Amino acid sequence: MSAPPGADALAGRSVAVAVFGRGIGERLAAGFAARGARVALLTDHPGAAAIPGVAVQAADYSLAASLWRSFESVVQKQGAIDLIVHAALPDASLISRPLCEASDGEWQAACGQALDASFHCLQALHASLAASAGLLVQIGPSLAQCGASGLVALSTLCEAQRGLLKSAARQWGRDGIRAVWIAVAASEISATLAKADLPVRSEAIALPLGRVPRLDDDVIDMIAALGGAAGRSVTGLSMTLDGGEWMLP
Amino acid sequence: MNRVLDLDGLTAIVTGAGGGLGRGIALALAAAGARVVIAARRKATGDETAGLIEREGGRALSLEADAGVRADVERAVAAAAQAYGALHIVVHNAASGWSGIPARLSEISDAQWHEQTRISLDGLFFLARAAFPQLRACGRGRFIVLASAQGATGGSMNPAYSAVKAGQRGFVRALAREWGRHGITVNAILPAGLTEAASAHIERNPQLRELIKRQNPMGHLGDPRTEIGAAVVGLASAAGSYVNGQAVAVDGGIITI
Repeated sequence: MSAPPGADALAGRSVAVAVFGRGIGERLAAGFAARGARVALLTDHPGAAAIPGVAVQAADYSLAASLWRSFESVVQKQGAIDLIVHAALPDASLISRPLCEASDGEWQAACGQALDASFHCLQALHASLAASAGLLVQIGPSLAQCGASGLVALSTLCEAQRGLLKSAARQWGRDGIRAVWIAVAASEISATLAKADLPVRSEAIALPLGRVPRLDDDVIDMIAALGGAAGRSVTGLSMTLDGGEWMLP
Repeated sequence: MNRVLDLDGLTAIVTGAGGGLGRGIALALAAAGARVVIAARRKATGDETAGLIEREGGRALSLEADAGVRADVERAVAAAAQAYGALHIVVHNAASGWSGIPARLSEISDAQWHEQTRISLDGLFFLARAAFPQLRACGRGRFIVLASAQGATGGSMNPAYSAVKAGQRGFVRALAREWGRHGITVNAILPAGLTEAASAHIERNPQLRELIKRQNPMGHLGDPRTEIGAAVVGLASAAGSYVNGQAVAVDGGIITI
Protein backbone atom coordinates (compact mmCIF):
# COMPACT_ATOMS: atom_id res chain seq x y z
CA MET A 1 0.00 0.00 0.00
CA SER A 2 1.27 3.47 -0.79
CA ALA A 3 1.86 5.96 1.99
CA PRO A 4 -1.28 7.90 2.99
CA PRO A 5 -1.59 11.50 1.82
CA GLY A 6 0.30 13.77 4.18
CA ALA A 7 2.33 10.95 5.71
CA ASP A 8 5.46 13.00 5.20
CA ALA A 9 3.82 16.08 6.69
CA LEU A 10 5.67 15.54 9.94
CA ALA A 11 9.17 15.66 8.49
CA GLY A 12 11.05 18.46 10.20
CA ARG A 13 8.10 19.47 12.38
CA SER A 14 8.67 20.20 16.05
CA VAL A 15 6.64 17.84 18.23
CA ALA A 16 6.35 17.56 22.01
CA VAL A 17 4.85 14.38 23.45
CA ALA A 18 3.75 15.21 26.99
CA VAL A 19 2.62 12.07 28.76
CA PHE A 20 1.89 11.44 32.44
CA GLY A 21 2.06 7.69 32.93
CA ARG A 22 4.06 4.93 31.32
CA GLY A 23 3.92 3.26 27.96
CA ILE A 24 2.14 5.23 25.31
CA GLY A 25 4.46 8.25 25.42
CA GLU A 26 7.40 6.18 24.23
CA ARG A 27 5.36 4.62 21.40
CA LEU A 28 4.01 7.95 20.24
CA ALA A 29 7.40 9.65 20.39
CA ALA A 30 9.04 6.83 18.44
CA GLY A 31 6.29 7.01 15.82
CA PHE A 32 6.77 10.74 15.30
CA ALA A 33 10.54 10.36 15.14
CA ALA A 34 10.17 7.62 12.53
CA ARG A 35 8.34 10.12 10.33
CA GLY A 36 11.16 12.62 10.56
CA ALA A 37 9.80 14.96 13.21
CA ARG A 38 11.98 16.61 15.81
CA VAL A 39 10.58 15.06 18.97
CA ALA A 40 10.78 15.73 22.70
CA LEU A 41 9.18 13.38 25.19
CA LEU A 42 8.20 15.07 28.47
CA THR A 43 7.64 12.19 30.85
CA ASP A 44 7.26 11.56 34.55
CA HIS A 45 9.00 8.18 33.94
CA PRO A 46 12.29 9.26 32.33
CA GLY A 47 14.12 6.06 33.18
CA ALA A 48 13.01 4.25 30.05
CA ALA A 49 15.48 3.11 27.43
CA ALA A 50 16.68 5.70 24.92
CA ILE A 51 14.45 6.16 21.87
CA PRO A 52 16.25 6.92 18.61
CA GLY A 53 15.59 10.48 17.49
CA VAL A 54 13.75 11.45 20.67
CA ALA A 55 14.98 13.86 23.35
CA VAL A 56 13.63 12.50 26.62
CA GLN A 57 13.08 15.05 29.41
CA ALA A 58 11.93 14.43 32.95
CA ALA A 59 8.81 16.48 33.63
CA ASP A 60 6.96 17.34 36.82
CA TYR A 61 3.21 17.28 36.15
CA SER A 62 2.32 18.41 39.66
CA LEU A 63 3.15 22.05 38.86
CA ALA A 64 2.11 24.09 35.83
CA ALA A 65 5.13 26.36 36.29
CA SER A 66 7.50 23.42 36.12
CA LEU A 67 5.85 22.11 32.96
CA TRP A 68 5.97 25.59 31.42
CA ARG A 69 9.75 25.53 31.88
CA SER A 70 9.85 22.10 30.25
CA PHE A 71 8.01 23.38 27.17
CA GLU A 72 10.29 26.43 27.07
CA SER A 73 13.26 24.10 27.13
CA VAL A 74 11.84 22.18 24.14
CA VAL A 75 11.39 25.44 22.24
CA GLN A 76 15.00 26.42 22.92
CA LYS A 77 16.32 23.06 21.76
CA GLN A 78 14.19 22.26 18.72
CA GLY A 79 12.40 25.52 17.85
CA ALA A 80 8.77 26.57 18.08
CA ILE A 81 6.48 23.65 18.82
CA ASP A 82 4.04 22.84 16.01
CA LEU A 83 2.27 20.00 17.74
CA ILE A 84 1.80 18.78 21.29
CA VAL A 85 0.38 15.34 21.99
CA HIS A 86 -0.77 14.84 25.56
CA ALA A 87 -2.10 11.94 27.59
CA ALA A 88 -2.43 11.42 31.34
CA LEU A 89 -3.26 7.78 31.95
CA PRO A 90 -1.24 6.40 34.86
CA ASP A 91 -1.25 2.71 35.67
CA ALA A 92 -3.61 3.34 38.59
CA SER A 93 -6.38 4.57 36.28
CA LEU A 94 -6.19 1.39 34.20
CA ILE A 95 -6.95 -0.98 37.08
CA SER A 96 -10.45 -2.46 37.04
CA ARG A 97 -12.14 -2.62 40.43
CA PRO A 98 -15.65 -1.99 41.82
CA LEU A 99 -15.96 1.66 42.74
CA CYS A 100 -16.99 0.91 46.31
CA GLU A 101 -13.82 -1.10 46.90
CA ALA A 102 -11.60 1.87 46.03
CA SER A 103 -9.89 3.71 48.87
CA ASP A 104 -9.57 7.49 48.87
CA GLY A 105 -5.94 7.10 47.84
CA GLU A 106 -6.78 4.73 44.99
CA TRP A 107 -9.44 7.12 43.72
CA GLN A 108 -6.98 10.00 43.76
CA ALA A 109 -4.28 7.95 42.05
CA ALA A 110 -6.69 6.75 39.37
CA CYS A 111 -8.51 10.00 38.70
CA GLY A 112 -7.51 13.08 40.67
CA GLN A 113 -3.76 13.09 40.12
CA ALA A 114 -4.01 12.44 36.39
CA LEU A 115 -6.68 15.11 35.99
CA ASP A 116 -4.43 17.54 37.84
CA ALA A 117 -1.62 16.57 35.46
CA SER A 118 -3.77 17.42 32.43
CA PHE A 119 -4.88 20.70 34.00
CA HIS A 120 -1.27 21.71 34.61
CA CYS A 121 -0.16 20.53 31.19
CA LEU A 122 -2.82 22.53 29.35
CA GLN A 123 -2.07 25.61 31.43
CA ALA A 124 1.65 25.26 30.72
CA LEU A 125 1.51 24.58 26.99
CA HIS A 126 -0.66 27.54 25.99
CA ALA A 127 2.20 29.99 25.51
CA SER A 128 4.24 27.59 23.40
CA LEU A 129 1.36 26.64 21.13
CA ALA A 130 0.07 30.20 20.82
CA ALA A 131 3.48 31.28 19.52
CA SER A 132 3.20 28.86 16.62
CA ALA A 133 -0.62 28.68 16.24
CA GLY A 134 -0.13 24.98 16.83
CA LEU A 135 -2.22 21.90 17.42
CA LEU A 136 -2.91 20.07 20.68
CA VAL A 137 -4.02 16.44 20.50
CA GLN A 138 -5.05 14.53 23.60
CA ILE A 139 -5.33 10.76 23.65
CA GLY A 140 -7.68 8.54 25.66
CA PRO A 141 -9.29 5.10 25.36
CA SER A 142 -12.56 4.92 23.42
CA LEU A 143 -14.24 2.74 26.03
CA ALA A 144 -14.07 5.63 28.51
CA GLN A 145 -16.72 7.41 26.49
CA CYS A 146 -19.26 4.60 26.85
CA GLY A 147 -18.19 3.58 30.35
CA ALA A 148 -17.28 0.18 31.69
CA SER A 149 -18.00 -1.63 34.91
CA GLY A 150 -14.96 -1.51 37.17
CA LEU A 151 -13.53 1.51 35.37
CA VAL A 152 -15.54 4.36 36.84
CA ALA A 153 -12.43 6.33 37.76
CA LEU A 154 -11.07 5.96 34.21
CA SER A 155 -14.29 7.16 32.60
CA THR A 156 -14.49 10.05 35.04
CA LEU A 157 -10.89 11.00 34.33
CA CYS A 158 -11.07 10.77 30.55
CA GLU A 159 -14.39 12.54 30.21
CA ALA A 160 -13.16 15.32 32.52
CA GLN A 161 -10.02 15.61 30.41
CA ARG A 162 -12.14 15.76 27.27
CA GLY A 163 -14.40 18.44 28.77
CA LEU A 164 -11.33 20.46 29.76
CA LEU A 165 -9.88 20.13 26.26
CA LYS A 166 -13.12 21.26 24.60
CA SER A 167 -13.38 24.25 26.88
CA ALA A 168 -9.75 25.12 26.15
CA ALA A 169 -10.46 24.80 22.42
CA ARG A 170 -13.22 27.39 22.77
CA GLN A 171 -10.99 29.79 24.69
CA TRP A 172 -7.89 29.31 22.53
CA GLY A 173 -9.41 29.48 19.07
CA ARG A 174 -8.74 33.22 18.92
CA ASP A 175 -5.08 32.49 19.71
CA GLY A 176 -4.86 30.24 16.69
CA ILE A 177 -4.56 27.09 18.78
CA ARG A 178 -6.61 24.06 17.79
CA ALA A 179 -7.33 21.15 20.13
CA VAL A 180 -8.60 17.68 19.25
CA TRP A 181 -9.41 14.59 21.31
CA ILE A 182 -8.55 11.22 19.79
CA ALA A 183 -10.03 8.11 21.37
CA VAL A 184 -8.12 4.94 20.55
CA ALA A 185 -8.78 1.25 21.16
CA ALA A 186 -8.28 0.17 24.77
CA SER A 187 -5.69 -2.42 23.77
CA GLU A 188 -3.51 0.36 22.36
CA ILE A 189 -3.50 2.10 25.73
CA SER A 190 -2.83 -0.91 27.91
CA ALA A 191 -2.95 -4.68 27.80
CA THR A 192 -4.59 -4.43 31.22
CA LEU A 193 -7.53 -2.52 29.77
CA ALA A 194 -8.01 -5.06 27.01
CA LYS A 195 -8.66 -7.68 29.71
CA ALA A 196 -11.09 -5.54 31.73
CA ASP A 197 -14.75 -6.36 32.31
CA LEU A 198 -15.89 -4.43 29.26
CA PRO A 199 -19.59 -3.94 28.49
CA VAL A 200 -19.06 -5.77 25.21
CA ARG A 201 -15.78 -7.58 24.92
CA SER A 202 -13.93 -6.55 21.83
CA GLU A 203 -13.49 -10.11 20.58
CA ALA A 204 -17.25 -10.66 20.79
CA ILE A 205 -17.95 -8.24 17.99
CA ALA A 206 -16.48 -8.13 14.54
CA LEU A 207 -14.19 -5.16 14.17
CA PRO A 208 -15.53 -3.54 10.99
CA LEU A 209 -12.08 -2.64 9.72
CA GLY A 210 -10.68 -5.99 10.76
CA ARG A 211 -7.80 -4.67 12.84
CA VAL A 212 -7.12 -2.31 15.71
CA PRO A 213 -5.58 0.98 14.53
CA ARG A 214 -2.09 1.35 15.93
CA LEU A 215 -1.10 4.19 18.20
CA ASP A 216 2.36 4.57 16.65
CA ASP A 217 1.12 4.34 13.06
CA ASP A 218 -2.56 4.97 12.20
CA VAL A 219 -3.05 7.48 15.00
CA ILE A 220 0.06 9.39 13.99
CA ASP A 221 -1.13 9.51 10.39
CA MET A 222 -4.38 11.06 11.58
CA ILE A 223 -2.52 13.57 13.73
CA ALA A 224 -0.36 14.45 10.72
CA ALA A 225 -3.50 15.10 8.69
CA LEU A 226 -5.01 17.24 11.46
CA GLY A 227 -1.80 19.21 11.68
CA GLY A 228 -1.88 19.94 7.94
CA ALA A 229 -4.15 21.98 5.73
CA ALA A 230 -6.94 19.41 5.97
CA GLY A 231 -7.29 20.09 9.67
CA ARG A 232 -7.12 23.85 9.68
CA SER A 233 -10.80 24.34 10.47
CA VAL A 234 -11.03 21.56 13.02
CA THR A 235 -11.05 22.25 16.75
CA GLY A 236 -12.87 20.88 19.78
CA LEU A 237 -13.48 17.68 17.85
CA SER A 238 -13.63 14.24 19.47
CA MET A 239 -12.74 11.49 17.03
CA THR A 240 -12.57 7.76 17.60
CA LEU A 241 -9.86 5.68 15.93
CA ASP A 242 -10.72 2.18 17.04
CA GLY A 243 -11.51 0.48 13.76
CA GLY A 244 -15.25 0.97 14.32
CA GLU A 245 -15.37 -0.96 17.60
CA TRP A 246 -17.82 1.30 19.40
CA MET A 247 -19.40 3.67 16.85
CA LEU A 248 -20.60 5.88 19.67
CA PRO A 249 -23.56 8.18 18.96
CA MET B 1 -51.51 11.24 43.33
CA ASN B 2 -50.12 9.87 40.08
CA ARG B 3 -48.98 6.41 41.21
CA VAL B 4 -46.24 6.16 38.61
CA LEU B 5 -44.57 9.28 40.00
CA ASP B 6 -45.41 8.47 43.61
CA LEU B 7 -42.41 8.46 45.95
CA ASP B 8 -44.46 7.84 49.08
CA GLY B 9 -42.47 5.91 51.68
CA LEU B 10 -39.14 6.47 49.97
CA THR B 11 -36.19 8.38 51.37
CA ALA B 12 -34.03 10.76 49.37
CA ILE B 13 -30.90 12.73 50.12
CA VAL B 14 -30.06 15.87 48.16
CA THR B 15 -26.66 17.57 48.42
CA GLY B 16 -26.45 21.29 47.94
CA ALA B 17 -30.11 21.59 48.90
CA GLY B 18 -29.78 24.85 50.81
CA GLY B 19 -30.86 26.86 47.78
CA GLY B 20 -31.06 27.03 44.01
CA LEU B 21 -31.69 23.86 42.06
CA GLY B 22 -31.05 21.68 45.11
CA ARG B 23 -33.85 23.35 47.01
CA GLY B 24 -36.22 23.03 44.05
CA ILE B 25 -35.34 19.35 43.69
CA ALA B 26 -35.85 18.72 47.40
CA LEU B 27 -39.25 20.41 47.30
CA ALA B 28 -40.28 18.40 44.22
CA LEU B 29 -39.19 15.11 45.78
CA ALA B 30 -41.05 15.92 48.99
CA ALA B 31 -44.18 16.93 47.09
CA ALA B 32 -44.07 13.51 45.40
CA GLY B 33 -44.09 11.90 48.83
CA ALA B 34 -40.42 11.31 49.61
CA ARG B 35 -38.84 11.98 52.97
CA VAL B 36 -35.94 14.24 52.15
CA VAL B 37 -32.60 14.65 53.85
CA ILE B 38 -31.24 18.10 53.12
CA ALA B 39 -27.44 18.15 53.02
CA ALA B 40 -26.23 21.74 52.90
CA ARG B 41 -22.89 23.32 53.65
CA ARG B 42 -24.61 25.99 55.72
CA LYS B 43 -27.07 24.65 58.28
CA ALA B 44 -29.24 27.75 58.16
CA THR B 45 -30.01 27.40 54.47
CA GLY B 46 -30.68 23.69 54.85
CA ASP B 47 -33.06 24.46 57.71
CA GLU B 48 -34.90 26.91 55.45
CA THR B 49 -35.43 24.22 52.81
CA ALA B 50 -36.57 21.73 55.43
CA GLY B 51 -38.95 24.34 56.82
CA LEU B 52 -40.48 24.92 53.39
CA ILE B 53 -41.05 21.19 52.99
CA GLU B 54 -42.59 20.84 56.42
CA ARG B 55 -44.92 23.78 55.85
CA GLU B 56 -46.32 21.87 52.88
CA GLY B 57 -46.87 18.81 55.05
CA GLY B 58 -43.74 16.93 53.97
CA ARG B 59 -41.00 15.34 56.03
CA ALA B 60 -37.43 16.59 55.95
CA LEU B 61 -34.21 16.41 57.93
CA SER B 62 -31.62 19.14 57.62
CA LEU B 63 -27.93 18.29 58.07
CA GLU B 64 -24.83 20.42 57.81
CA ALA B 65 -22.54 18.66 55.34
CA ASP B 66 -19.80 19.69 52.92
CA ALA B 67 -20.31 17.40 49.93
CA GLY B 68 -16.58 17.34 49.27
CA VAL B 69 -15.67 16.06 52.74
CA ARG B 70 -15.83 12.29 53.10
CA ALA B 71 -16.73 12.28 56.80
CA ASP B 72 -19.59 14.74 56.24
CA VAL B 73 -20.98 12.69 53.36
CA GLU B 74 -20.77 9.42 55.29
CA ARG B 75 -22.41 11.03 58.31
CA ALA B 76 -25.27 12.40 56.18
CA VAL B 77 -25.93 9.04 54.54
CA ALA B 78 -25.86 7.27 57.89
CA ALA B 79 -28.22 9.84 59.38
CA ALA B 80 -30.68 9.37 56.53
CA ALA B 81 -30.75 5.63 57.02
CA GLN B 82 -31.03 5.98 60.77
CA ALA B 83 -33.82 8.56 60.67
CA TYR B 84 -35.98 6.90 58.04
CA GLY B 85 -34.83 3.27 58.02
CA ALA B 86 -33.59 3.17 54.42
CA LEU B 87 -32.20 5.27 51.59
CA HIS B 88 -33.65 4.93 48.08
CA ILE B 89 -32.74 8.09 46.17
CA VAL B 90 -29.46 9.99 46.10
CA VAL B 91 -29.13 13.31 44.29
CA HIS B 92 -25.71 14.96 44.00
CA ASN B 93 -26.31 18.60 43.21
CA ALA B 94 -23.67 20.41 45.27
CA ALA B 95 -21.13 22.44 43.35
CA SER B 96 -18.36 24.85 44.14
CA GLY B 97 -18.99 28.56 44.40
CA TRP B 98 -16.38 28.95 41.66
CA SER B 99 -18.61 27.09 39.20
CA GLY B 100 -20.34 30.13 37.77
CA ILE B 101 -17.41 32.51 37.72
CA PRO B 102 -15.92 33.07 34.25
CA ALA B 103 -12.20 32.33 34.05
CA ARG B 104 -9.47 31.83 31.47
CA LEU B 105 -7.79 28.46 31.83
CA SER B 106 -4.43 30.07 32.46
CA GLU B 107 -5.86 32.15 35.31
CA ILE B 108 -7.38 29.33 37.35
CA SER B 109 -5.39 28.70 40.50
CA ASP B 110 -4.73 25.25 41.84
CA ALA B 111 -6.93 26.10 44.83
CA GLN B 112 -9.87 27.07 42.59
CA TRP B 113 -9.38 23.96 40.47
CA HIS B 114 -9.27 21.68 43.47
CA GLU B 115 -12.34 23.29 45.03
CA GLN B 116 -14.29 22.26 41.94
CA THR B 117 -12.83 18.76 41.63
CA ARG B 118 -13.24 18.18 45.38
CA ILE B 119 -16.97 18.85 45.46
CA SER B 120 -18.04 17.70 42.00
CA LEU B 121 -15.84 14.62 41.53
CA ASP B 122 -14.38 13.54 44.88
CA GLY B 123 -17.72 14.30 46.52
CA LEU B 124 -19.48 12.18 43.93
CA PHE B 125 -17.17 9.27 44.71
CA PHE B 126 -17.65 9.68 48.47
CA LEU B 127 -21.42 9.83 48.08
CA ALA B 128 -21.66 6.80 45.78
CA ARG B 129 -19.41 4.70 48.00
CA ALA B 130 -21.24 5.67 51.17
CA ALA B 131 -24.75 5.20 49.73
CA PHE B 132 -24.14 1.95 47.84
CA PRO B 133 -25.07 -0.50 50.65
CA GLN B 134 -28.36 1.33 51.27
CA LEU B 135 -29.22 1.67 47.57
CA ARG B 136 -28.49 -1.99 46.93
CA ALA B 137 -30.42 -3.15 49.99
CA CYS B 138 -33.58 -1.29 49.00
CA GLY B 139 -33.74 -3.07 45.64
CA ARG B 140 -34.69 0.02 43.59
CA GLY B 141 -31.95 2.51 44.18
CA ARG B 142 -31.66 5.72 42.21
CA PHE B 143 -28.43 7.73 41.91
CA ILE B 144 -28.91 11.03 40.11
CA VAL B 145 -26.23 13.61 39.34
CA LEU B 146 -26.84 17.23 38.38
CA ALA B 147 -24.24 17.67 35.64
CA SER B 148 -24.28 20.38 32.97
CA ALA B 149 -24.44 21.03 29.26
CA GLN B 150 -21.13 22.88 29.80
CA GLY B 151 -19.59 19.45 30.29
CA ALA B 152 -21.17 18.03 27.17
CA THR B 153 -20.22 20.82 24.81
CA GLY B 154 -17.21 22.32 26.55
CA GLY B 155 -18.38 25.71 27.71
CA SER B 156 -16.01 28.61 27.29
CA MET B 157 -17.02 30.21 30.58
CA ASN B 158 -14.91 28.23 33.02
CA PRO B 159 -12.76 25.27 31.92
CA ALA B 160 -12.65 23.80 35.42
CA TYR B 161 -16.45 23.71 35.50
CA SER B 162 -16.61 22.10 32.05
CA ALA B 163 -14.06 19.51 33.15
CA VAL B 164 -15.79 18.42 36.33
CA LYS B 165 -19.22 18.36 34.70
CA ALA B 166 -17.91 16.26 31.82
CA GLY B 167 -16.24 14.01 34.38
CA GLN B 168 -19.58 13.51 36.09
CA ARG B 169 -21.05 12.23 32.81
CA GLY B 170 -18.22 9.71 32.54
CA PHE B 171 -18.79 8.67 36.15
CA VAL B 172 -22.50 8.13 35.49
CA ARG B 173 -22.02 6.08 32.34
CA ALA B 174 -19.51 3.71 33.93
CA LEU B 175 -21.28 3.40 37.27
CA ALA B 176 -24.59 2.66 35.53
CA ARG B 177 -22.96 -0.37 33.94
CA GLU B 178 -21.50 -1.42 37.29
CA TRP B 179 -24.60 -0.95 39.44
CA GLY B 180 -27.35 -2.02 37.06
CA ARG B 181 -26.99 -5.62 38.21
CA HIS B 182 -27.78 -4.45 41.75
CA GLY B 183 -31.06 -2.85 40.70
CA ILE B 184 -29.65 0.65 40.97
CA THR B 185 -30.01 3.12 38.12
CA VAL B 186 -27.46 5.90 37.66
CA ASN B 187 -28.30 8.93 35.54
CA ALA B 188 -27.37 12.56 35.03
CA ILE B 189 -29.51 15.58 34.39
CA LEU B 190 -28.11 18.50 32.43
CA PRO B 191 -30.24 21.38 33.67
CA ALA B 192 -30.72 24.95 32.59
CA GLY B 193 -32.44 26.29 35.67
CA LEU B 194 -33.43 29.72 36.86
CA THR B 195 -31.82 29.75 40.29
CA GLU B 196 -31.67 32.73 42.64
CA ALA B 197 -28.08 33.24 41.50
CA ALA B 198 -29.08 33.14 37.84
CA SER B 199 -31.92 35.57 38.49
CA ALA B 200 -29.57 37.99 40.21
CA HIS B 201 -27.09 37.68 37.34
CA ILE B 202 -29.83 38.44 34.82
CA GLU B 203 -30.97 41.42 36.89
CA ARG B 204 -27.44 42.82 36.71
CA ASN B 205 -27.19 42.02 32.98
CA PRO B 206 -30.65 42.60 31.53
CA GLN B 207 -29.41 41.92 27.99
CA LEU B 208 -29.24 38.25 29.03
CA ARG B 209 -33.03 38.14 29.24
CA GLU B 210 -33.31 38.65 25.48
CA LEU B 211 -30.43 36.26 24.81
CA ILE B 212 -32.14 33.49 26.77
CA LYS B 213 -35.39 34.10 24.91
CA ARG B 214 -33.55 33.85 21.60
CA GLN B 215 -31.32 30.87 22.36
CA ASN B 216 -33.67 28.68 24.37
CA PRO B 217 -36.40 27.11 22.21
CA MET B 218 -38.74 27.28 25.20
CA GLY B 219 -37.81 30.92 25.76
CA HIS B 220 -37.01 30.66 29.44
CA LEU B 221 -34.79 28.94 31.99
CA GLY B 222 -36.33 26.05 33.87
CA ASP B 223 -38.06 26.43 37.20
CA PRO B 224 -35.96 24.59 39.81
CA ARG B 225 -38.97 22.84 41.29
CA THR B 226 -41.62 22.39 38.64
CA GLU B 227 -39.33 21.76 35.67
CA ILE B 228 -35.89 20.63 36.89
CA GLY B 229 -37.14 19.04 40.11
CA ALA B 230 -39.96 17.33 38.26
CA ALA B 231 -37.46 15.64 35.96
CA VAL B 232 -35.57 14.35 39.00
CA VAL B 233 -38.84 12.99 40.37
CA GLY B 234 -39.41 11.23 37.06
CA LEU B 235 -36.03 9.50 37.17
CA ALA B 236 -36.48 8.67 40.86
CA SER B 237 -39.94 7.23 40.39
CA ALA B 238 -41.20 4.01 38.83
CA ALA B 239 -41.27 5.88 35.53
CA GLY B 240 -37.48 5.92 35.59
CA SER B 241 -36.95 2.28 36.47
CA TYR B 242 -35.46 1.33 33.08
CA VAL B 243 -33.57 4.54 32.36
CA ASN B 244 -29.91 3.92 33.12
CA GLY B 245 -26.60 5.55 32.24
CA GLN B 246 -28.22 8.52 30.56
CA ALA B 247 -27.48 12.23 30.56
CA VAL B 248 -30.88 13.83 30.21
CA ALA B 249 -30.86 17.46 29.12
CA VAL B 250 -33.63 19.33 30.96
CA ASP B 251 -32.96 22.65 29.37
CA GLY B 252 -35.84 23.59 27.12
CA GLY B 253 -34.04 22.24 24.07
CA ILE B 254 -30.73 24.11 24.17
CA ILE B 255 -28.85 20.85 23.76
CA THR B 256 -30.51 18.65 21.18
CA ILE B 257 -27.86 15.97 20.76
